Amino acid sequence: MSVKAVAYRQIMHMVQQKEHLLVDWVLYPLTMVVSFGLLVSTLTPDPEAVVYVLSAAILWRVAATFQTSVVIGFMEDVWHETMRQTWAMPLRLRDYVLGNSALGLVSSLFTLCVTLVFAWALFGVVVSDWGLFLGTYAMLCVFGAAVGIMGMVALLLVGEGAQPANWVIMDMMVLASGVFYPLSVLPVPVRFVAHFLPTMYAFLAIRQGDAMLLAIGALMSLCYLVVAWYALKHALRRAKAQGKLVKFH
Amino acid sequence: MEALRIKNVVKDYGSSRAVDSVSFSVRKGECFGLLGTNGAGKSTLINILAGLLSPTSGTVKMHGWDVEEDWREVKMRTGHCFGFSCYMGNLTGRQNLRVMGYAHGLSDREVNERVDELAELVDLEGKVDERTEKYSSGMVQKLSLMAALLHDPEVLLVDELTVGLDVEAAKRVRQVLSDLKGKKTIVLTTHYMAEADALCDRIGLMHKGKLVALETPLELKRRVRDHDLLELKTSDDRAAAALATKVCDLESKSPLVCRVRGEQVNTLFKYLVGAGLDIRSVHLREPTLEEVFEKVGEME
Repeated sequence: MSVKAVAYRQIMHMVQQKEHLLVDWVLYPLTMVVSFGLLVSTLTPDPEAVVYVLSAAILWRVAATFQTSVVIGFMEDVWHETMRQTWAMPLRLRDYVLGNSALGLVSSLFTLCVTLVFAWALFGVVVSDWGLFLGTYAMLCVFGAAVGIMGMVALLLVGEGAQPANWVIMDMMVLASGVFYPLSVLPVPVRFVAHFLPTMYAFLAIRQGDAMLLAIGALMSLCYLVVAWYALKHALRRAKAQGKLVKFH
Repeated sequence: MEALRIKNVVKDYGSSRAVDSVSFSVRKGECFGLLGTNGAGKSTLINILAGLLSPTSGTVKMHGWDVEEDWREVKMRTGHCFGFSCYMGNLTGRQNLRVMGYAHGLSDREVNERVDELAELVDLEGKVDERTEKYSSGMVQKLSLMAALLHDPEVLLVDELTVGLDVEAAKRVRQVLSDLKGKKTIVLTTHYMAEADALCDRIGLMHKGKLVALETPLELKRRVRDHDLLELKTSDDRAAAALATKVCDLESKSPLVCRVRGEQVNTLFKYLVGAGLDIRSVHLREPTLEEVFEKVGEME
């Protein structure tokens, strides 16, 4: 029931923000699809290029949406000064994370549907391998959740100063994940870092149509999720001991 | 029966000690007040009781459950009522309470029934379906009280609830707490002397992290002075003052205030009536808890 409590709060809060919903769920995805679609179709007559770049952009957007949704529940508690009330409730940590992830699932699925419809309507993009596409979506959600949880860890350890990092972290990762270009164009040190990013394997899997690469990415994402989970447990215990949980109020 | 047992609780923040070896227990149905100035350690202690802060050492048990180890069982049985509470402003009072209700395993029907019942209790009827961003601070505190009572907890932790409230709202909140006395175990922190005096069965006086006194309000007052102050109005205060000096010491002549102990009251009245003086009013001045604080400060 506690998962329901957190999910209800986050989803009701989001539904009340109609203007934000319009921007985040409709205008921003539309702008992204139009910009990337026009850019690629202007540069190359190859229709496959448009399909690949738009699929990659859509999936990356979905991962970022999931990551933001997971961490934003925690930030809402900071912004609304509800941290004390929230943690005075009989909430298990997993209830809190799963409740916030429910928002991530709703947001990312909506974003996925909207962007796919725009891509199809404006550029005729049709997903050819739904298995690989949805597998990548699921893997990116897991990785997005892991990064979102690490965002909570940063907030608990560092305080409100860690907020900006949560907005830019996924955009930073796009550089090394080979989302829009092959890894070979990157400097050697960045290529080395890329091997530790599950997203790199996911987008390589899409480019090469290799499900094994996706499985590697999925396994790595699960490992990161487990690490993030234990880091969050530790950070919460530490925050309770240091009084940070109360001071967020 | 014991509802709460706090044993040797210490809370350190680096080199600073916020709570220093505090031990006490609270009986079931008792209203226990933690009184102290800002920084005395009472909010730190209530945050430990609420499971929001881990003690550096010591144990807190609620109905036998350890607050740290069995936190979920404890929180299911506890209602928390914090001063300056905040809610999601774009949700209504009912929606905010529904979040708390779900967390305590209540169904939609149970939440709605309890919300309507509690709204009537705290005078928030007709407002629970408005967004909380439109609430005054008094309404927010009432909502906080509703949130604390929503799941019908056995123990109520109340932290500075009436701070910043107008007279009417504070009066209503105190009335609700007073009505709950005996039915729920209440631990409240306040720095309003009159509030603790009126509500609490026992008071723990905190000073610089230590529990320096633990008594009933009356016993605490008795610690301050061994006499009562009797304010009198008579048909001739000057003559009454002259007579009173034969029986007891005077605190002041105008108004006439006598320091009386035990049988002195009886004797004083006999003298006054015997002298044919008309006694128009008698007022017993009890020591205030401010005086208790001053006394404790002197002892420290």
